[in-house]
Amino acid sequence: MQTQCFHCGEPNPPNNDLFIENNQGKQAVCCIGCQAVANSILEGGFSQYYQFREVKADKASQTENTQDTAYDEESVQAEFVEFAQGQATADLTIENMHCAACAWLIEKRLLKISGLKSISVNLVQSRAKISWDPAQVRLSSIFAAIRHIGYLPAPFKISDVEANYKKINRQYLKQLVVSGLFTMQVMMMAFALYFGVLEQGFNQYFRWLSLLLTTPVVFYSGLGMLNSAYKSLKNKSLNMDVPVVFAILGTYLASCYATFTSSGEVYFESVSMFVFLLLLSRYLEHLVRAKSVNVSTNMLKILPLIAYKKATADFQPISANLLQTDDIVMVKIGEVVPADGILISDTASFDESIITGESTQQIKQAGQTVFAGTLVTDNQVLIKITAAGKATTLSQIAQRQTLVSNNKSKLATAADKVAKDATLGILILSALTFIIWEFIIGESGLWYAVAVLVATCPCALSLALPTALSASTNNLKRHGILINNSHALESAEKISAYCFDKTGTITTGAFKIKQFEFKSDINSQQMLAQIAAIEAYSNHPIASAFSTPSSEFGVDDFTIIPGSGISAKIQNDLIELTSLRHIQQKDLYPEANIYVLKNKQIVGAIWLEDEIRSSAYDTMTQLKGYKCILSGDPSHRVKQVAQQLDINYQENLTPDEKVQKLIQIRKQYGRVAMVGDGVNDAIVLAEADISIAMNNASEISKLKSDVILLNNNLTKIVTLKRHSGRLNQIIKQNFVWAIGYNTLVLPLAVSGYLTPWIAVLGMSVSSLIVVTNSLRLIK
Amino acid sequence: MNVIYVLIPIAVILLLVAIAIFFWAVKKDQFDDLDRQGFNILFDEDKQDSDKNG
Repeated sequence: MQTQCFHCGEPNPPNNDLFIENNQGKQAVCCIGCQAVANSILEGGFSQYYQFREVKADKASQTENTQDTAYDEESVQAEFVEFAQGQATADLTIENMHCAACAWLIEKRLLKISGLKSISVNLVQSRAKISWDPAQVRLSSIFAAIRHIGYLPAPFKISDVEANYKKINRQYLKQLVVSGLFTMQVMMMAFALYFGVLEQGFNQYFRWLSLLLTTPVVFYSGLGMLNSAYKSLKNKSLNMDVPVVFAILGTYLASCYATFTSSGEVYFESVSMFVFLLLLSRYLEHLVRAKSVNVSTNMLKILPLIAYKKATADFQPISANLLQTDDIVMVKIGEVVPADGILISDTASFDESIITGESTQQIKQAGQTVFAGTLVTDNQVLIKITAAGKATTLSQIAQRQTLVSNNKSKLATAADKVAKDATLGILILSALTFIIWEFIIGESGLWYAVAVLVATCPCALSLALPTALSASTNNLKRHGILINNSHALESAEKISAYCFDKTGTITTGAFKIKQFEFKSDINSQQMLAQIAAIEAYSNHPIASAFSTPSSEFGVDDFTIIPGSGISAKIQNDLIELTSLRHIQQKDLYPEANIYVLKNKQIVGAIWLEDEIRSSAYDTMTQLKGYKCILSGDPSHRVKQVAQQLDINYQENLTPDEKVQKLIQIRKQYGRVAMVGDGVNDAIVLAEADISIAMNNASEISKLKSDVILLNNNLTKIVTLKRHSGRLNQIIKQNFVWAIGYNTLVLPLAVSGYLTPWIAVLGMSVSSLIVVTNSLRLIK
Repeated sequence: MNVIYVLIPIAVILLLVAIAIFFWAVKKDQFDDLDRQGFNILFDEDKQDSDKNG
């Protein structure tokens, strides 16, 4: 028998009797969920999926999603569906998609639905764009079809930021191709012009052709730079583009003049190559940023899209954005509260970790306030809304975060300054050259000034930084480190203090059993197995501490006692699992998390702890500098974790206090990096010099953080620091070379010995050297 | 050498055609997902297109 599931590759449980049948005979699967998904795939005739996939599928979940039907509601669809000519179009995100085979499977399966007009799945972004005929098929059945083959769809609205990035991306692609292809033509003609392979009469013809071909390069491909320089001059300031545009336009106009008057030299190929290389460096910079925008805006869905609002008779699903103060909404177990409000139904527990960072459940009674974004864990509740939409606590944290990160002054890097000063110097120098030749020596100074501009054009200089950054960013992505903000990559080397959040960052956020104690007449292994069997029915976070049970026990009468615990019957014994607060004899098992009652008698207790990531220990020994835990958790667990890792700690901090502590640490130790995950870390992440978010972090934290650790592996911080050092070294080498070359060739230009072909050759070779040097960072 | 007066304009026109085709491809989202299309050749086309059963 196969030991691994045919569908998801996880180990099959012992005594497994679940199979699916394909053309190679019986294949074992691990659970009913995987069986259903695999059967659905094979019956649809998509067996090729299993042949070509590169990664095994995720384990299928067995729970049915009841929320899908709500997506058929008009008010909900208004949020993310566009209607045009009897056809509806929507963007979806699709979770669990891993390789090209997944994308193929989804497309093929959905195209079988009659009424579905078109679908295109984007693997890189884990998204799909679908359009369908609402008269023939409902959106909920499309969602159901995606679920049947094991993927999780969610509606999605492309953010303005991202739409804008996409537009810029296309613009860059077009401009690059235009400048690239035209530059090649101009170079070809320049070759003929320089090396005298032409008969005399063709000279002028070739000059005119070059002028014609260079014009779109300057005014179409170079449009971005022209615009930016114009804006900057209009505001009476000087940015990087001003000297660049002076060099481009100066050389271009001088060459035009030479062409009109059949005199002097033309430098069209230098102009177009300069524009092409500059554009290339800008595009590389843009790509680095655009990649992270995709990841961070993929699912801004902390708040549910749908709320069940009380109507006259029953509860109607409506768009959560339409909720108003004093509406009454129902939230089911395991769902997210859509707005701040007052609990008006019975006691229930809430998982508020998203707001407070506390790992333990909060028990709330009727009349207490509940927050948007928190999770209801054990009872269906009714909430009277006090604040919805932008007024919720969660949204306000998000607004504070944006404010803080906008106000923070960016770390000015040496690189920016050098490039700016150097280009400015060149302008002054070429002006001086002109004045000296024209007025002191008495020759026409124009051609010498142009030669200086061409010789020193900061081509290699402008490539030095972006090529190194994008090479390094790509390399780090292979290591599971995503760079949102390239400044972080440059300055990571200089970080001297590190702050960490506890829950979800240093710890996994999942519970595990630390110790247990049972009365002597109890068989503890059997008891634990029984508890695991009961917990399997619960979707409470604590249940994840117990491994999947072997199904030896029949569990009957499973009940959730809201705000207290759960109970069930196994072999005629009533077993109750409850928390400390509901037990009278508190000192029996001090600080235990779960009390076990068998037939109303306390028989033992279980202590749980959130597990420290295995990568945390190595990270703390390898990272040099001040290290501190900043946690919102008030429990003594913070101290334990800090002591185990041998670092400092601060417990019980509100999001604002975290910021205060961080500023204190910065004053004392220098630049601070913050590593965090929850919404409660969002503000302190924004304040830190470098913010690092775990991949399981809330979307709001990931959106604005500089670095995302894709594999949740803390040791990658050490890798990041090492790479930052290498990057800075390469950048330094690039600058030394680029500036060195320009200074070297300068005397030639000033004294008039620089012919156009030497200028072009020198420019290409020095750019090539810089790019090759940067590429070393990819290895 | 006079043929150059004809050949180079022809080369430029071909260049413009190539650029037009590229612009069209960009407009049709062909550069959005470069990882995936390479695999399409591995998958067979549908044997029959009539079994639409939803």
